[in-house]
Amino acid sequence: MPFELTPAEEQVRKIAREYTEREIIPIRKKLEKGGAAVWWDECAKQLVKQTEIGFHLLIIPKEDGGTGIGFVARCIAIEEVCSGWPGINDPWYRCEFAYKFVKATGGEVEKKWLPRIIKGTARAAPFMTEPTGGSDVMNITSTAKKVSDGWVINGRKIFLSGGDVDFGMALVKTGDPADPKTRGPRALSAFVIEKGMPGFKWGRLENTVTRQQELREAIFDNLFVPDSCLVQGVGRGLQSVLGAVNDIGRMNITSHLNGIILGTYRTASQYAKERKLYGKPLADLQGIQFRLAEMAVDLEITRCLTYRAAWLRNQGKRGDTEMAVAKYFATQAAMRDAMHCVCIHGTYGVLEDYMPQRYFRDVPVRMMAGGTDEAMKNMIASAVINDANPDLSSKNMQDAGW
Amino acid sequence: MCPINTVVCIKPVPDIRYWDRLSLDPATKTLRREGIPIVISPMDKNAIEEALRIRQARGGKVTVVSMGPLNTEDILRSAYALGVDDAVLLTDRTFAGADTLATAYVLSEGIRKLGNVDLVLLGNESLDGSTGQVGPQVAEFLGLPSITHVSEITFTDETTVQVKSNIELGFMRIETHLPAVLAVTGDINVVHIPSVWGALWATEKSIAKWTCAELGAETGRCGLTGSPTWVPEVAPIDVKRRGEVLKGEPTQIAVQLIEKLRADGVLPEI
Repeated sequence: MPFELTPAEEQVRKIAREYTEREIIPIRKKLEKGGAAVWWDECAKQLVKQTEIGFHLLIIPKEDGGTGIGFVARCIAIEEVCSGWPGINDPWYRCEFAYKFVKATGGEVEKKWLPRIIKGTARAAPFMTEPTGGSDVMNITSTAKKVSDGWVINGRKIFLSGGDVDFGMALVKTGDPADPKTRGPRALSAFVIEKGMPGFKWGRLENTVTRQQELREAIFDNLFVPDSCLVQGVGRGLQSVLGAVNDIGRMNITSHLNGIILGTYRTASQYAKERKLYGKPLADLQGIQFRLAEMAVDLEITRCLTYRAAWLRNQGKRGDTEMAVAKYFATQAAMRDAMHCVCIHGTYGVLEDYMPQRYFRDVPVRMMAGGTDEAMKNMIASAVINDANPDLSSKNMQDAGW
Repeated sequence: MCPINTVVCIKPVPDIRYWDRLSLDPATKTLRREGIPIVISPMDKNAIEEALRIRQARGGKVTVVSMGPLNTEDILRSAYALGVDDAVLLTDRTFAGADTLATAYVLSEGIRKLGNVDLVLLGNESLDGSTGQVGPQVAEFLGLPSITHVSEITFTDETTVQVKSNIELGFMRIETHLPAVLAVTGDINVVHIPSVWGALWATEKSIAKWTCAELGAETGRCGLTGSPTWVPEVAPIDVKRRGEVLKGEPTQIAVQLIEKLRADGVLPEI
């Protein structure tokens, strides 16, 4: 695979870095002190700026109104923006989910929402996790029953991020346990559920250690959805949702973690050059140099893994296992490097007015989102053991240079 | 209203994010720039932004011109990302080592070759050299009026502009007919962040490259040969604080302070 970024990807990095320096870094203190209310308010403002720049159009093909620059450029943009403030790409990220969902659904749903998505005024999120567990999708309990011209959905979803989105793609059970044809993955279907549909309401809000990105509960109480909201047919829900989770969700979270690694690396190296101890810069001390070297190595590796998985998507290939590899590595590296950054800053690293503690607090949240480390290792192990896996068979691993 | 064709002269400068890695070559008295990324000099970006605003209001074309080695192409691509229509790189080994006069000569030859130019904009001064000389020099070579320190441009009719030109304690309002050369300051506008569409334009559009021969420029007026000025010495300024505590009653302290300031030449003798 080529190891150089394309000229368009290089330009996207410059644009994303300029946006971060001019729009995000100056509002850091406000974001830190403001809590959830300020967060959502700022997200609304940044959505306008981010969609004006067109970050949400990077992976949308030209025929749908996007730029088609691709997934690698997207990873680069998320990395730069999240290095300024973890998660501040969330506004445009929700437009990307919206795009993926409406393309999977097609028909009336696509016709209604696509123009708004291109304008940057439609946002969506996956509605997957239930109290039974996020990793255990096969045991979700929300159900959808067929009625004359649609479906009636009952159940609830928790830990939904993205705030008050316009719609979501909900994974629910449509299968009959007595019918062998509708067991296993074929028991699950996906539906687009729009805000304002009778029977749908938001429930409890939970805040995380980020102190701003609240997670929501969605309640479906005899919620009626028309047939046009069924995604790709009965029993095809898992495939649809997991495709969106890998392309949009997991790739975003991995790039977000890369942004944390990049941010900690830049912050720590700058501080080490400026701060003096024993009459000379911290950066002259070998112990500090070793920490910085480890951070630099982590940054190189995580970028290579993430860009490779994104590059596969640019070629029209799946790359799900490659993305799992990247995500798993990124969570481990981000945790290490956030700790390095805190340690290099000493006590300043744990003060609220400084970034190291903010990066550090963010990492555990990303470890749980888009598939836990254990779920990623399951995927990778399955690919290693199962030669029939088209994503990462033993032959493909050799081709990939493993 | 008739459209306005604008040429913007831009200069590559070291990216300020990496300035702590710049060092001075003691032999040549020039900056060692290898490995430091280059960017468009900030006030030149303001000049591009102003040209784009004029194009939005009046129509016409915006062309950027820069003199430099082949890697200057990077900043011309960044100019495309901002939305300019065309880009020209004046590049030739003969141009190397140019001072402001030789640079202005080459730029003016490039502008002459482009032709059909109503307005020339550039930054009032570059981030690195900061001489502020190239704008007026280009105007002289082209036989055009020039105004510097421009912080506002307004069209009073089809081919007349009124500008606000900053001076030390205020500003002047000056009118001139086009074509003219205007050197703009950083407070003329806020440069927009390029869109991702700009990233596509930056890679899809071509950059014309003109050599000394293609310009028809006199080699003796280019580069080091054509430079009547050179830099004999560059030295860092060592700024040290001198702390001193004056004691006594307030009136006594005031008297001591005035004596010290007079002795240091800060206050004039009465």
